[in-house]
Amino acid sequence: MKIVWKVIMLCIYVTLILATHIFIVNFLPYPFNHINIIFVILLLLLIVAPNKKIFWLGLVISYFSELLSSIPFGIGTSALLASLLTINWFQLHILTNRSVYMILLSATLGITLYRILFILLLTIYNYFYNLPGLPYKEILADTGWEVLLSSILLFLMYLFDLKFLKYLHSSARNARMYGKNI
Amino acid sequence: MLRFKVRNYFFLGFILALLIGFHYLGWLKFLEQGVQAVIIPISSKITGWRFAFQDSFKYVSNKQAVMDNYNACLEKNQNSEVDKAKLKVLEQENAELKKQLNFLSERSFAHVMAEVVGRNTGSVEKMIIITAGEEAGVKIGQPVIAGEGILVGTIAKVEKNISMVRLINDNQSKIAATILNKDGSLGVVEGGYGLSIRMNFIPRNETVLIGDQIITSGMEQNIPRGLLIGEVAVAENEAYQPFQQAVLTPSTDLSKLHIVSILISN
Repeated sequence: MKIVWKVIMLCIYVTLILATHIFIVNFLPYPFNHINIIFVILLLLLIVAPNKKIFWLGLVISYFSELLSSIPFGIGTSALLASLLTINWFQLHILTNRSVYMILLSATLGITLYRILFILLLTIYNYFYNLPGLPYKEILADTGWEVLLSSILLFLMYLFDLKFLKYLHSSARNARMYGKNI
Repeated sequence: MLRFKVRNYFFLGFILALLIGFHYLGWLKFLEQGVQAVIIPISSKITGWRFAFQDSFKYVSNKQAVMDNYNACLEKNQNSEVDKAKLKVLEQENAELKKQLNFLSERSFAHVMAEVVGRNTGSVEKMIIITAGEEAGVKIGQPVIAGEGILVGTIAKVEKNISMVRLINDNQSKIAATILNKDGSLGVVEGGYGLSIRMNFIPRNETVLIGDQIITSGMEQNIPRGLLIGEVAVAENEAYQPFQQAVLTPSTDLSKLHIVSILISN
């Protein structure tokens, strides 16, 4: 019964996050439609409630979101997981301070890394399949908006969590301060 | 933060590789179709909201431009009364010509209508998602039209019940086209990163005028001749270039597509 309940909850989380992603991409005007809500939510969860399940959640969400994209399958998911793991390592070994400014820096680094990996993989794919080059100038502008707006959103969400949802911290404090072996 | 062990990295990578492999082998089709069945109605609903709110966004973000457009519309409306009378005469002539043309050459397109339920309009791709797929007979490369024969793109990816349409302003879109000028100039219409649409490879000795209409040339296997693409907004004929090129204005607003038709055979 517990497992069924967990699966139902996972389905609800995934649907909600995907619906939010579709809402932002389809509904919001430029440049707000470039907010990377999937990455923001996953990174926020990784910061306030670290758990290995977040990577699996990221894998599932990214896999499903790629079903609605014409970008070669696997590029988005690979870039997302690699950047999440890298930023997790960064927060564990380099960005160890947990001030809101450090969270902002983590978000900026994470989303920038995600976009760089994404473009790199896509460029390699296009090269091997003789497809035309990417419009790097436009991509750079879009990435700028994505990094700026997504980082600000994560910063605000973390701040909100810090002020109003303090119960999340008590459970995650030890893991954040001393690391958690899994 | 999580201290990830090396075996966890490998396990995650292994599962990711499995997922990608199974996807390309088509072994996850059942799961993917189920997910799409859940996501598509949500996307469709949100797209509906976007259509309802799009003009409001534009009004708030660029009030001056909307007002200018409104004033221009008012002016055009006054002139249109004169044109209406001329149009009626032309309509009668047109109806008669149509009858004759239908009699001379019966040319019918098999088509499938579809609803636009989503879009991907980042800098990397200009795509829309439509509710017709393999089951409806849709295949890669088939033309997608809006209104009365206005080409908006071609099918780029087909799933069981949905398809992705590469719009004509996508960077990878290339359509063989002809200009309705006295020379019947041929060329290739290419997308310009979603910002513009250009027609390239027009011979330099042919005359291209602003306002000339551009249609598909019929030189591609799936795309019939005569689908309207747009009209010439700027013609560029540089002395040092082997060909001249033109910047086009599309005949329909590619960001406001709601219902489209796919020409599934000629």
